[in-house]
Amino acid sequence: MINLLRSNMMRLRKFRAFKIEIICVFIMGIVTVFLEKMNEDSFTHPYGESYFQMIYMLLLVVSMIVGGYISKDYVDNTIRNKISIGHKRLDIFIANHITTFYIYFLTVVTWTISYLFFGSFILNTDKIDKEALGVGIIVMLFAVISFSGISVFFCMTVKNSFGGALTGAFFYVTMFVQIFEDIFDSKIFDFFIDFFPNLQMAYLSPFECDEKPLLHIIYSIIIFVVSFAGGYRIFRKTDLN
Amino acid sequence: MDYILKTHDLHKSYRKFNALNGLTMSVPKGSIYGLVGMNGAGKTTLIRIAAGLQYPTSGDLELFGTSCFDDKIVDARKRIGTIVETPSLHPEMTAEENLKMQFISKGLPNYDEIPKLLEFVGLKDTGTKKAKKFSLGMRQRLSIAMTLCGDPDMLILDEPINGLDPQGIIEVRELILKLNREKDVTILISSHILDELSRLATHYCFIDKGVAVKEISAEELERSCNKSLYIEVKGTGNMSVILDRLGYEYKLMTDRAADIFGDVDITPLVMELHKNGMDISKINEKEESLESFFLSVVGGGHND
Repeated sequence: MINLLRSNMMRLRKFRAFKIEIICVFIMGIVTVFLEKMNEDSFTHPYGESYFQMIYMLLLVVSMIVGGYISKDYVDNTIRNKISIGHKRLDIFIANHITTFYIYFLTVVTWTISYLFFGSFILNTDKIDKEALGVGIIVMLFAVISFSGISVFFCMTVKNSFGGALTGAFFYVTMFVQIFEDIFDSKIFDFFIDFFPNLQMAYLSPFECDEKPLLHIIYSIIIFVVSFAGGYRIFRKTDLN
Repeated sequence: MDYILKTHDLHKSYRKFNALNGLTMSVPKGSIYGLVGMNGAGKTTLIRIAAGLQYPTSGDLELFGTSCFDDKIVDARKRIGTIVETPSLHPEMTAEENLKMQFISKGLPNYDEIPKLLEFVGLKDTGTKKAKKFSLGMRQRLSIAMTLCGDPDMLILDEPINGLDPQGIIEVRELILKLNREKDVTILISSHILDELSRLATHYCFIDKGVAVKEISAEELERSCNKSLYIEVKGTGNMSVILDRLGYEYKLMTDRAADIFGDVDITPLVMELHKNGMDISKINEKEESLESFFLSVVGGGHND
């Protein structure tokens, strides 16, 4: 497993899209802080509001990059190197999950450092509720875990570059639930908003504590477990070229 | 005899197509085992199952005595190096980095062997050139180097000389022979270039429509290959009468040409023909090649 993780990390270091993404997220965080500083007096949104909102959007973009990374192993046929030298399929699957989580996590950390940490030195942080922020970050981390579960499920089931696009499309489509919820005000849409990790994040705020953090965490765990078990079941029996 | 790889009634179906139809074969330890078959005969499917990329529909494949359905098969696979069809390389990495990836994946403790491997396959001067800019021959060499990481006990090579130039083919041939003779590495090799295979293999398996139609050692093959003498005559005599009289086994190609099988005493034959009004216009010895043996075993038709 360690060997697989080390090789995944080496491959990640060579994956240009990932490097560009991290740099862009960092720059974006700094720029956002300066824009908010310049408009501090007229800015209708207090500092901190962009934190979860941007992560919500960023993770949608990153899901495409994750998809590209995982499916590249299939496109280049390098996944067969791992199997033919005696790695268990379960280990390969877990290693991909860990690497995927790492990509999402590093994006979140980069955004947190560039926007929240850097911004806290030059912007007014009075309105940020530390408890709400802490709870939000915990809920978000579990949502990120379920994000990685869904991403790996799609990419290792589809087995080509379409897997990445499908992951992004999946998260994009679920965003419509928000619109339907506004129009129809149905309980089923409330459930979806609590259930899907990206929608959970859309409603996180550093000013108000998440009302149902435990429920959100449980839903994220359920999504992860189901996508992991389903994805591995398919991958275990899949014929590779 | 010890066998490194054995299959028992191996079947593999893809929807309605049966790629393997009860393949039974055994690769002896220390052999260079040539897989011979037409396109779609099932060679690559067999190699994919051996490499763990695919599962048999039924039957079994044993690697170092471990069934492919046993969890310990992964340990057996650590002892083999495999090339399946096209090279599986990281295109954005250099040759050295590709080997490094393989070393890391295999958990090998250091990278000391990498320069030697690169030199071995003639890629030591590729420097920072990325694998995506390599020619097919260079990629093939690099994948051969990757299979050699960690001193495997067995190599499974699917068309390893595809895309290589004549010099490269000679180098790969020498490399395979060297590994087999000096390090006792067992090699399973499939190739369409039968002439090349005949220079390497110690054993052959002829596969047709997913079945091993003939398993034979190189020595047995040599014994079974028919030698014949081809003669063409000019004149008015009846050649078949003379050949019958001399008691030869023969096949008339035309009324003036024939293949005569077995040991032929040329001088009495020429004299007898001359006495009966026929002069030899052409004569040459023919030996059945691996190619013609293959065609005689599997037939000359094409797989669907």
